Amino acid sequence: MSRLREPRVPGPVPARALGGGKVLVAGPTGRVALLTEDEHAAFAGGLREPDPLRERLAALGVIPEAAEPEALARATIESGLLNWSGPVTHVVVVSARGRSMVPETAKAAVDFAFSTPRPTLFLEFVDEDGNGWPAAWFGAAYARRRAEWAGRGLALSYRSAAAPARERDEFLRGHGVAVRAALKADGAAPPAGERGAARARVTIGPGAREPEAWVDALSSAGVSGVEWVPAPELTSDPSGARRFADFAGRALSRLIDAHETSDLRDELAIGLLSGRPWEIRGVDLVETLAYAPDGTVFSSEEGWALDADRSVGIFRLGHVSTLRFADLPSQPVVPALVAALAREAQPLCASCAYRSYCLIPPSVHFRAQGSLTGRLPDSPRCAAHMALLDVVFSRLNDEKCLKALEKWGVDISRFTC
Amino acid sequence: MSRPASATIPKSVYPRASLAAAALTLGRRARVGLAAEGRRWRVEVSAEGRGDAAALLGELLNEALSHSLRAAALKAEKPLAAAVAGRMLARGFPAAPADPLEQLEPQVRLDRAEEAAALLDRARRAA
Repeated sequence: MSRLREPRVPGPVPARALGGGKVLVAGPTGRVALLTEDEHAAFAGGLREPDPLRERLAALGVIPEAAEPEALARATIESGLLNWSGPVTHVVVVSARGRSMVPETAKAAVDFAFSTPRPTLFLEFVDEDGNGWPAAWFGAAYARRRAEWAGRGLALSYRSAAAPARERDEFLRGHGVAVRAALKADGAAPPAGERGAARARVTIGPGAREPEAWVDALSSAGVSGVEWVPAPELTSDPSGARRFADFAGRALSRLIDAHETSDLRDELAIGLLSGRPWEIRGVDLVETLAYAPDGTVFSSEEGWALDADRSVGIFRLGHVSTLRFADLPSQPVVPALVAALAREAQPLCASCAYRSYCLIPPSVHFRAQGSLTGRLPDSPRCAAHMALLDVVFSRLNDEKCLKALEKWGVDISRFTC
Repeated sequence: MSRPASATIPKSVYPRASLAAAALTLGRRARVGLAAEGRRWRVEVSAEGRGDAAALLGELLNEALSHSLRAAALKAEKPLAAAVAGRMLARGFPAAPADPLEQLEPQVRLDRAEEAAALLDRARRAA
């Protein structure tokens, strides 16, 4: 039997006990304040004017009679799904599981990405087997030209397990393509100098240890962004999920401590802290779409992986040569995904202090727990998000933490203590 | 196959629809039987393959509880959730606007198509 692990604190607004006598309270738009237990008790008991604590909490919008409804409504819409304007990340799988994409399919994938409305796009070419270089080469060159023609912003990335050969590396640099190393952590040993990769995606296995050493090694290799991903074994049971959450939390803590000497950033944590669903990595449809080597479009890379690993086809959206972005709502899975992404309607999410910062991709829920909406008390991804946000919010009174967040481009004006 | 696991549970906490939704999430891992006994349900879970029937029964009940809570949350938040989902589905997927230069000057489109074809040709040769 699993126990509810969330240390909720009863009170008028969502609150979370963070240890050390600290309680985080969150307003409806994601503004948060770190209070002492005594302050929170006074707040829960009712504050009278002109209490200075009341002023602080009024600014968060948590005292209804002191809130400015129009400003709250504006902030809610700006950071919510009503303000969504198409997916940001397009993951083009040019080779994986023994299959390679042909350049014509890469062209269709790039054309599809440019048919979506977001002004700035991010295309990542995943060359898992190392056989997809012609499609990746074409995709990067063609996408760069298309961005110039359309005057749209474009970021490109190439992900492979092996570092690209010199010739390829030169091409990638020449076209502004960031190399993203796909690494595996399943022991104590940190990576041996993955120089050349601008970013890293590290799959954490059951034996992974010493997150601090990993952070130090990636920092010293000049990597600027890291995404920690749990291996499938760590998503199938609560103890594995806790190990991953502990690893990710300790790594983030180290990143905060080392920010003065390191440019390394935790991409998932920064996505969460943006408070905007379309910046949280891997969220189906909203943040991402994925393209299989045969041209099938999926709602996310995880959705494609489920199809490839387990023949779970529910995240298929159509074929890139015939699908139109505007037709997506007519795909049966799309209304289901949109409904699953409404966090207001999720039990426990609706009353969670981190509601404004968190969104779990339905495909991740599906892999771990078999449904699009998941089951939060023992959701592995919920545990990981909680761990990351706990690390940040329990240190809001720490100058070092605020400076790190500022350096990473997080809007710290929403945080008070 | 391990022995079936069963439990009797109150209908007031576990609606039939929630038990049905929970059974769907177990998929092919289990067979789920349901019988009414007055104000209670009798649920029986048989594992298919190597699964543990008691663990699957626990998962089924967790999932059913989660579903009934979600249904309650949805009922309370229906106007907001429906407004967001309705707007996204109705107007959230507009195509990117067409390139005005290509529309005004067809030759631009042809030149670009030619450039793309040349790139494709180079990629094919590299394959």
